[in-house]
Amino acid sequence: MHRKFRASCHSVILWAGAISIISLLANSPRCWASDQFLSLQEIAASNPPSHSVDKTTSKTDMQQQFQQLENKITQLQTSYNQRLQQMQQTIDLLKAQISKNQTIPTTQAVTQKTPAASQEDIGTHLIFGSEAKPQTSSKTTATQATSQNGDIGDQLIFGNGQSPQTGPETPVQPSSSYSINSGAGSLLGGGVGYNGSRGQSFNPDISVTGDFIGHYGSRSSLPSHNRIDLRESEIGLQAAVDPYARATFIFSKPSDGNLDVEEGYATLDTLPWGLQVKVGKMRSPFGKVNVLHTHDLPQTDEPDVISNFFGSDGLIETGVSVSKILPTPWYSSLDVQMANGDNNIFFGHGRLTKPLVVSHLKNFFDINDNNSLELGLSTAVGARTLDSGARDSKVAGIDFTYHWLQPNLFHTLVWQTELLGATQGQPYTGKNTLFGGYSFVEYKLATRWFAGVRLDYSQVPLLANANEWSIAPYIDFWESEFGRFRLEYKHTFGHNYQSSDQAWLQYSVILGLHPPHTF
Amino acid sequence: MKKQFFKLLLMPMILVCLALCPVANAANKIKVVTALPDLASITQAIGGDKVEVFSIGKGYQDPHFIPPKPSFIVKLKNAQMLVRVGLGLDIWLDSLIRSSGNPKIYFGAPGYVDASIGIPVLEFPNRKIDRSLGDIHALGNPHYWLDPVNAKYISADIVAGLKRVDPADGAYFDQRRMMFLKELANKLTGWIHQAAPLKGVRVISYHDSWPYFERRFGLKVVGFIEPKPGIPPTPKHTQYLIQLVRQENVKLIMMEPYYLSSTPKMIAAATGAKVIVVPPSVGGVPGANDYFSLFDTILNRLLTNLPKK
Repeated sequence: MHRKFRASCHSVILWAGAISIISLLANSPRCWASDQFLSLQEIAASNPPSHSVDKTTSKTDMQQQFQQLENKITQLQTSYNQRLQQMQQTIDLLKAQISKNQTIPTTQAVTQKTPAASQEDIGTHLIFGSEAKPQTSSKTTATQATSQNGDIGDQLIFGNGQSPQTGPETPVQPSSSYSINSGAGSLLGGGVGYNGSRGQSFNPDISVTGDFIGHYGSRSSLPSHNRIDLRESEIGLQAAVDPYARATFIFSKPSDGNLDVEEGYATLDTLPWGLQVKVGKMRSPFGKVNVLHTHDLPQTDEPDVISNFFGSDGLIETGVSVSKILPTPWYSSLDVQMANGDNNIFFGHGRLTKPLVVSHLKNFFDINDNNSLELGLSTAVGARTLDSGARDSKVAGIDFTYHWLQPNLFHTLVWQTELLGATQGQPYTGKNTLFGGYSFVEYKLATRWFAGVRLDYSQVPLLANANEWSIAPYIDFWESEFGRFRLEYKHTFGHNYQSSDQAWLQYSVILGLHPPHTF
Repeated sequence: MKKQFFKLLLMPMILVCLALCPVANAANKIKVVTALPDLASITQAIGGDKVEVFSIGKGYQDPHFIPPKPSFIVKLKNAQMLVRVGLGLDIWLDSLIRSSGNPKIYFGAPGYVDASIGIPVLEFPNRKIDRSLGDIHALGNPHYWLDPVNAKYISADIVAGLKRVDPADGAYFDQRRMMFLKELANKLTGWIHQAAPLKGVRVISYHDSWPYFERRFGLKVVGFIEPKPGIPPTPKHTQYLIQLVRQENVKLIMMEPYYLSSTPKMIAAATGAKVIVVPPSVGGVPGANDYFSLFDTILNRLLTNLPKK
């Protein structure tokens, strides 16, 4: 009986040993201890001794293996003891430091501490450094109020009961040298809070936008006519290139087209005289609406004049733009772009021999904190080439925006108007000049609700004597900063052009790090 | 007629571009732009008559959503130093900084001061977060200026920035910072004594603006009117809060001046708790004119509305 029991014990130990060695190999060295004991216990529980006698193993073999296992166990025990000792030392060290750094006004408070409280302070010490945990100190100070008049503030601000003049122990010494990434007063710090995002530091800011629309109406020329569509998906990437430049890439996939680079440009923004130079493909700086991406548009559809004059994507050109804030007391900036001129409604020469030049002068006036006016002038001059040769087309625009903001933004009002005039270098139809414009008013009704109405007038460049008027009331519900529902109805009166009734339900979402919208 | 239209448009453009002479800058004070008035107040206290401070945000505005008006770009363009809150609170500042074309205040430049450097940040999320949690801040709670003790870190960052911009006046700034901190320490002693009755008082706040204040002065914020940061109140959450107020015996509902008072008032009407408007920033309400009087005002409003036993 005794022998049988012993043999069964051996076999259990053998199994347990084998499994523990395997799990030892599998686990990281830091956490071996708890895992080992757990697995031993598990094995003991799942294999009761009486059922697991292995008769094929010879006695000498078993003794040998038993010896090996015993060796292993002693080895493990010694290393476990070492680790335990190390931990004990660390705890002692921490305790010593804590008692040194106690900044609580009275010794009474320290002695009153229970073991549990001092353990809490280890965490405080690790996280907050030499400063006592605010809550603890406020508790103490509140109770000790009458006895400690005068110096609690000093201790909290200057720490360690040091008087301000003696200074060396002052917790924060601003560094006078120009250091970027270490020490108090440095540009970046190196606090606990920044560790989490460090790994993604060099990746660009990534944003994704989705623009879902449902369309119902009588204008069959639209790609989303009587459909539910993912009108546009867009991926935006932005990052600093180096200390001298930033770059932005925006890829978009319209429902009726291929994935394309909508914008891709680098901005050199550390040039002398405050000049900023953009190189690449970008939304041309013409007016207010042309520079907006589809999901940012103030209404579901673009104003007729923009889509008639520049196409449904707007005026997007590849070239170089230079901008500067002018030295005026109010905000005034001039942005001039020189581009190929690929847009083929008015331009389309596509060569720098006759470049397209787009310019925008933006002026912004604060009437007071709550009212502001913006006045802008834009021009685009470029060549249009047909069989008969290249001739200049010109488009000019004026934009006017009035903003009223209640101080707490419960209600806001925007009134925005753009008027455009154009002369075609090579008229399609014999009609040389064209006009168009829009005006909309948008009012913030409540925290998440906006309502507005837009009026449109536009002549149509591709058709003689055709024009359209339209009225489009709409209502927005912002579920959050990153999700918006919009319902829009639009009635169009066409003159030599299609009249139509349309309605959209739009849902736009933004994921990731999308730059906040400009004013 | 049509050609004249273009001439009419082009003429003012050319005139504006060429005819404007640069505005002369006589004053040689350091021009500092700050994100919030609290930082402006501390900068002014330290910089004395060597600085001219302008705050983009006003105390009565929600610091998360300051409209980035182009007029602020002009201020940033002419600034030598920028002091921002950081921790993701003032992201509206980024596009303004970039548009300013002023490399002196770009991220990493000597004139760029992130006042959150060195702050023992609270509520730092220790796991991956996403926007299903609302407008949660990935770098921790950014309302750190509401613990006066944190002014030692803020002022250290500001002094370091001022010294980078104007090394010659370093001693002056150091001296003024010490004066500021000494006064603050004095005041703080008073505030802590004054705040003794607030210890353990359970309150509800509209937004999670108060963790730093709470820990310093012993209040206990047990719930928020917002179901999640930045998400407006919902009927369901309001019902929950009414229960919570009764259960936790909450007597005060703290509301920042830039939120709608309807939900707090509804909860107050249902429970008998009191709604008080408490400014989280300098200029939020009349009387909170600088960093010191901000705490005077907050504590005063809390204490006078505390129910007598």
